[in-house]
Amino acid sequence: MSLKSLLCERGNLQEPALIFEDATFSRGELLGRVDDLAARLRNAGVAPGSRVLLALPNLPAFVISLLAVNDCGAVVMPVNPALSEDERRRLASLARPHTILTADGDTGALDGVRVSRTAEAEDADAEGAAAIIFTSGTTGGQKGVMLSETSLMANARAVAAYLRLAEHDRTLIFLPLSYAYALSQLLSTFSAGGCVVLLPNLRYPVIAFRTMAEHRITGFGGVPTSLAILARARHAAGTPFDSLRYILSAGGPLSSTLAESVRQAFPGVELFNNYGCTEIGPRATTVSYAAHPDKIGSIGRAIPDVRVTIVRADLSIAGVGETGEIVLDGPSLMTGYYRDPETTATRMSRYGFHTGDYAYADADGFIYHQGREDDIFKSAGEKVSATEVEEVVLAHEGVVEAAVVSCPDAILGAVPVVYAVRRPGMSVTDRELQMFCARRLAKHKVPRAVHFVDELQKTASGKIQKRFLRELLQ
Amino acid sequence: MSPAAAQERAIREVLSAITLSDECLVVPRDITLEALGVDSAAMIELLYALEDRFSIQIGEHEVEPEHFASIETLAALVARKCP
Repeated sequence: MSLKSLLCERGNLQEPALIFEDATFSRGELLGRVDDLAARLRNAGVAPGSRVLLALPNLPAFVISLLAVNDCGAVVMPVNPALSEDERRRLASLARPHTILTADGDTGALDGVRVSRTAEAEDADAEGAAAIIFTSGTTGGQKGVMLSETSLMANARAVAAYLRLAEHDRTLIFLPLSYAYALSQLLSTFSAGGCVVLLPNLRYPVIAFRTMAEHRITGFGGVPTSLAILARARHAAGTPFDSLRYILSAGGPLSSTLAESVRQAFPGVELFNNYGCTEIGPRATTVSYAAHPDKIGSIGRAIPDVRVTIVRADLSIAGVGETGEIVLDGPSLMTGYYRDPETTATRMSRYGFHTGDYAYADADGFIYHQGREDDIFKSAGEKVSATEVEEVVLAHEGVVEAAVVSCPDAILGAVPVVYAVRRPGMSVTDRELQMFCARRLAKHKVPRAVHFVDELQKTASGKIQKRFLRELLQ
Repeated sequence: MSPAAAQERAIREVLSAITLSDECLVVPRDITLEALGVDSAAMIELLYALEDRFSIQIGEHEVEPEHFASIETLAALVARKCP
């Protein structure tokens, strides 16, 4: 079995499987391109177990490369090509790929791939992994989540089942395919015999709407920020979307206000709120707000083949309405963190993977996310570790103390804001501090506002009282 | 400074504030917004910031490559809208 077999399960080979701008690839054509590239990769030395880094934007070349690398029995490591030079260097030293695939811009073809071998890759154990997806870890550093083929396929089929995806479905994907979320949309659509329409990004919402109308899109998924952008721009679209059937939200908390604006902007379209994490491949729970309007605010119940347990700190199971940690298990669970068995071990118990997310379930089993105990939040669907940002701020010579907290934002969900104490005699400005961070951190981690204060209130044990700072921002 | 040059300078300052990069103040005017690090969420910030800075109204339908491609196309849009 390989991922490309998903393309053969349903639908006939003449039907379109992938559309990008003016180019349409039927299932048969796509399989042909995959076989050609797989042969090229084998000739270039890609073998079972080889690690192949995919630094490609949302182009047909990404999809072809993903399936071809997998067909060779190699491990695919997709990374966002929009990463900064600094982030890419850090990622490459963690990833240790044998081969790197990039877009071949010279040919101008949408499916052109450039294959480069790296200098002798060091040994690293990625046993059983079909893909390694990089995600921000709890301590802020990158983690490689190893997902097996079984994991990817199990989760794709479960998503296809609850979305009731079928051969006539056309999924619009504008999130980067290097994310587990977009990968799940791709594989679940393929597994149902549907067609994927790719967009490079959501920079121009008008283009997204035009694409939806032109290709009769039946569904799309976004992080809450994407949905806020689309709901806001909806009136500019003009044409009604009679083909649109569902919208997915995942990758961050969907507020009741945003759920309502999405419902108003897309009347009659079924809105699903979802929860998950890359480690579970990535989908864990879902709820249709059309079917359960009384459960708005909930992240739903477990999807097929995922077991969700809410546990207390002593590992006993939390009762109805009682908040505990979300623990996930099932065939789609990762095989572990790449090159980090210690962290893998600390996150696992007999119930499965400990997410660090806290929630409670109501009497009907619907789960309500309550946040995290650590200092991690999401901005535009991306994880931000307050600790990581604080370390950078404190590295500035003009700052002696700093506390980073999340501030609610209508479009981005939340943004990092820093409270800092200046070093006596130093006169660092907010702009200087932001620029200092911008040179060292990904954009979503750079504090949107800097508040200089004389002191930061602390507990008896000397810990900064962040609760007080958060209240200031509400 | 001519009014057009002043407008372009102001657009560059807006972009610099959004992207937190002084590069925007000096790059050639045909560099794409994408290359300057303006992602989909920053596009909305840019829209608001331009409306605010120049006291103009920009419709959502105008956020497309024709107008929101580079400093050059933004300058043309702002010039057309400014009284």
